[in-house]
Amino acid sequence: MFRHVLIPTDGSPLANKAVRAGIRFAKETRARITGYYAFDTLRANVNYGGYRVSEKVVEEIDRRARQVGQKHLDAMAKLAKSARVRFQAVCDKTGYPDDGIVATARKRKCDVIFMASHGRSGLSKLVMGSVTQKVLAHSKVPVLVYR
Amino acid sequence: MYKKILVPTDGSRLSDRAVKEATLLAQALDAKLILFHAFPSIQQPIYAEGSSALLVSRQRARKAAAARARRVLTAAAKKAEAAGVATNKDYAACASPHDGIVAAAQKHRCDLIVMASHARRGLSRFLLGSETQAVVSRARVPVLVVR
Repeated sequence: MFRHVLIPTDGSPLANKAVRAGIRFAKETRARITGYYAFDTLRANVNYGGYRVSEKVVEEIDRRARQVGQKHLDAMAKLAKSARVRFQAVCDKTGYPDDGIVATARKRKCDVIFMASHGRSGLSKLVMGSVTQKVLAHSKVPVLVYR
Repeated sequence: MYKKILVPTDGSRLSDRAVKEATLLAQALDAKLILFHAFPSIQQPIYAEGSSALLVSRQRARKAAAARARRVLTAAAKKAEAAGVATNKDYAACASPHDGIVAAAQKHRCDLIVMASHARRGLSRFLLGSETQAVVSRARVPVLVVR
């Protein structure tokens, strides 16, 4: 069966549903988990009203974004630990979370992805989130979509 | 975890893969499979140019569809039962497959749907089948999309 579950999160309540389900699943089937968080920040050459954003500012924003991701991943790690499930975390800087998720699944040899149908930018219940949709289209491994 | 898994199948190769994955999952979780086949309630055009009469009565068309449904479901059930997984079979005529699938999941109180990313019309690997997409958007329970 599935031995390695990839759980991408953006920290949203719906993503947490997938996180909890994934951990429960891994516990029951004795699989291990890789948690994944993607963040994106400004490029260093972005201009604001004629002012160039300094490298230092970009670095600081990156650092804080990574901190937020680490917080969500730590929360997942804690849940995994209390369920006695092996856990690893990946905090990725990319503007394309869907590519990041598919690539991480491939690189880490995950055999299933547990994710929410929407994340933070989810608006309607009737349409699927864009990240989930792209992951479903590109993933080579089965995707379990939570709603 | 999941105790009753709905597996829609149309007898295509890709839906055979979904049956296979669902069987493995059911083994690991000690769950039961509900195999389901949906067929359109209207089997043929009411009239075609040059001929106003139905060549085959609606009743006969429906009978043929039900026979095909039983054949597809029996074949799928055989594979699952060979692996020691308990199954139930159900089929329904419905306006569109996704309506039938979502309704069947509710009727049988399934807690997971396992389905292929495409079915008969699966051409592109980079798109998600329309039925699968509709099921993921409308189902109340999580959906495992198998590729």
